Amino acid sequence: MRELQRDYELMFIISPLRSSEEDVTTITNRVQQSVASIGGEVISSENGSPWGRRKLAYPIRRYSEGEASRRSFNEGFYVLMRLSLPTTQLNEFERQLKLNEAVIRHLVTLVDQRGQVVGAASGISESTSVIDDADDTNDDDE
Amino acid sequence: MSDRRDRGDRGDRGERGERGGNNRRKFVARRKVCIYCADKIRTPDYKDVKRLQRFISERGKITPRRRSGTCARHQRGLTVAVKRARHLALLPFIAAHTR
Repeated sequence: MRELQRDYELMFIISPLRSSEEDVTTITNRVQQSVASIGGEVISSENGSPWGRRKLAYPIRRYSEGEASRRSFNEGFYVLMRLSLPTTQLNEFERQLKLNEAVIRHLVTLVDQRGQVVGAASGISESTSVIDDADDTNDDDE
Repeated sequence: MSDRRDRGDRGDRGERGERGGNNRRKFVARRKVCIYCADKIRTPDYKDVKRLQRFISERGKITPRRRSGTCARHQRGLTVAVKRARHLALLPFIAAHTR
């Protein structure tokens, strides 16, 4: 049986202690390697605005390398990735992310395939918004 | 206050409100339109922090449907999106001043 591949979206936060430019590239490379090792593929990766270095909404306490107690982080470096992974290997992939000490948080979500179509159509909705407004006023009159 | 809002959500109350609103204070029910429906977004996205923030109270709670006016379908997705955003520290679990 052939393995089923699915598109996922991964967002992870790199510890601010490791968020220098070269550290970020080594860490993202490491993630990409683990994707490749389980037979997946990285479709895109971005850490430009609004991602990249960002303030956290609340402090996250995590163990960092070479420290005995947990440290409270107020900032993090966000990276967003689009992946295609064999569904059976997802657990293994998440395990590897957890082992990565530089990653303080991560979230893997399934990409809604039909959602892409809607996302592409969002440009169209701008032009049709005038018509929508007209509809709304009609509703008020009723 | 909440009681007034409750009435306000019901679109069908609009006409009746005018009839009985002689001695009571007048409350014109405005039909609320789901923002996600209006913007033609299929499911709320956890990365869209700006939009999600509108559905979060001062204390960091998810606003109920009767206040936010989202439709049932989008509210369901919205709660999931807010919780995902919280996990990634994009949104707070509790307000900053209560910590």
